[in-house]
Amino acid sequence: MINVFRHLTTLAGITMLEGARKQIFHVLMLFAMTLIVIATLLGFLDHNIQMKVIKDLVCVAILVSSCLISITLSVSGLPQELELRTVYPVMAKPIKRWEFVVGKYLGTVGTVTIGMLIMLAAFCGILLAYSGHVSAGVFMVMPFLLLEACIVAAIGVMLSTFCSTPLAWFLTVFVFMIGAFKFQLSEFLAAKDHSVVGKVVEAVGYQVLPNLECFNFKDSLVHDIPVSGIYLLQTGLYGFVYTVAVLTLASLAFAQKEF
Amino acid sequence: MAISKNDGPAITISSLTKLYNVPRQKQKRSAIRDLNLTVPNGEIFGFLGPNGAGKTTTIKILLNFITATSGHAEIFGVSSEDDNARQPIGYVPEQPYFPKFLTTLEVVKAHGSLSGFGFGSSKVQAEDVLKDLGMYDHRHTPLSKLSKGMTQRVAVATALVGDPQLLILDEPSSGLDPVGRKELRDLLLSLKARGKTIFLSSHLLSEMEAICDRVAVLSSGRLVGEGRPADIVQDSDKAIVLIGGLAQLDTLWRQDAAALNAEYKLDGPNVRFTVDGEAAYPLISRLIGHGGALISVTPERETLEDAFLRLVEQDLAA
Repeated sequence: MINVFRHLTTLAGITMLEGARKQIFHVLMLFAMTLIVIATLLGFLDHNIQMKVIKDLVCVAILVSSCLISITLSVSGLPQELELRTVYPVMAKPIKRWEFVVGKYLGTVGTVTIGMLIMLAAFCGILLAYSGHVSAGVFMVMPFLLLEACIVAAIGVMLSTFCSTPLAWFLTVFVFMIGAFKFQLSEFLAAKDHSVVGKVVEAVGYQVLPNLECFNFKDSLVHDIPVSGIYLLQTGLYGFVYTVAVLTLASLAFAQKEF
Repeated sequence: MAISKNDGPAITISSLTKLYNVPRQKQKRSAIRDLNLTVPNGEIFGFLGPNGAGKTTTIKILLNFITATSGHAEIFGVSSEDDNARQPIGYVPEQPYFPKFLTTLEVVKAHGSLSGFGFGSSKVQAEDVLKDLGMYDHRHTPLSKLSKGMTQRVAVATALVGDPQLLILDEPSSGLDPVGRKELRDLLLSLKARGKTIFLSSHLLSEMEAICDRVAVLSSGRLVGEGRPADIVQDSDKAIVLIGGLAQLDTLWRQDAAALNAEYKLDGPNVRFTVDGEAAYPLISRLIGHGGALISVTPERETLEDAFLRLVEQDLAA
């Protein structure tokens, strides 16, 4: 057990360090900051609901940026290790295949967390500058945005075990988009398609694809709507179980790989 | 699972076969065929073969990067498919690559942790190994800034940091300059003196001959020779005679040489003769009669490289 912990923390540590030093991470962080600035400027268009618009748009900017970072880093991690053969010296150590997959995943999540902390600091700075205080809701919204990015990263890692990096990137973005609008999409399809096959496909898709909408608490932050602790707990548990399931699939796929 | 490093061989390979699918063909291509090999503990074992002979495939099976089609391999009695089998292994891949945004110390320290050391002791271990390999001054250098030879040293450091009993080295001299190669050779000999087993795949046959206790020659996935280098090379009944002072335009000594079936080659001011052992003395007598002076007589000896080429050619001809 100690060895498993040591392997996971070591792999996660070097992956996180490497990810945080990559140029692509710096570029994406610059993109995120630009989005946050644009969102803040857009908030000034309407002085009556200025803070509501700023909170809303900055949350969207943080969500899009963090998911973009997690997708980009997660889909390239494993294929790059195989392509550049950096996997050889690591896998020659007494580590298990699943430890490698999970360690790489945790490292990616670590890098995304660093990015989100920087974005959170910027968000708090904006709120302090314009309203003089940071509402507690911010600290409720951010962990769930991170959890959403974690689920997206797990899907990226899983797809990268059997797809090329560009294909895995597009598929993960596709799943992210569907997951973010799953409920609306489901209602739309139910109204359009009445065939049995269509209903089966829709039902399977609905169960298999992640419901990312449930992690979005920005409305409660914007409109100061309280959220029950039980609901938060259930949502967190759903995210955790979904991530574990996806990582299990990724580990099983990677265990079959020859390199 | 506890691994006993002192009893039995370090590596046991039994009837190992690896077949690969060939795209658009029903027939599979064999990378290794029915390979049997035993590597004793505490020796330097040379693994030779031309490109595509199956050396790296064998190493990959030992490290469980790929699975064998049939047969099995064991490391200190533990199946290579068991993750614990890699506990006593340090591995240097051919043309090693490392994450380029990390520093030398970060990478070596991480490998120490993955080998089972605690975070604190892995740093101490990593620094010690980097000192031994002359890389301590570069410990904070990003790997992207290192030369090929330095990267190779880092690879050796990552293999040594866990103090492994068995080192598997795939072309470790690649990228090293002559000084680096000598340092590596001395390092391997010192590791052997400490009782370590070294499984060495290399194309530098003169080095292999100098340091290996045993060698195995692989050709087209099959074992075509195995034993101590002295057992692999063939004895010759010919002698090399080096004579000085012969007039190079003189045709008389050439006639004598031809009469005794001696081959000759001009070697600066001297002439080098290759002749059957029993004809050496008559040849020397006649050449001295022509004004020649004997410089040396040595038995002709096949080098490991000659033996390697002979074995591979025999296999290809068969």
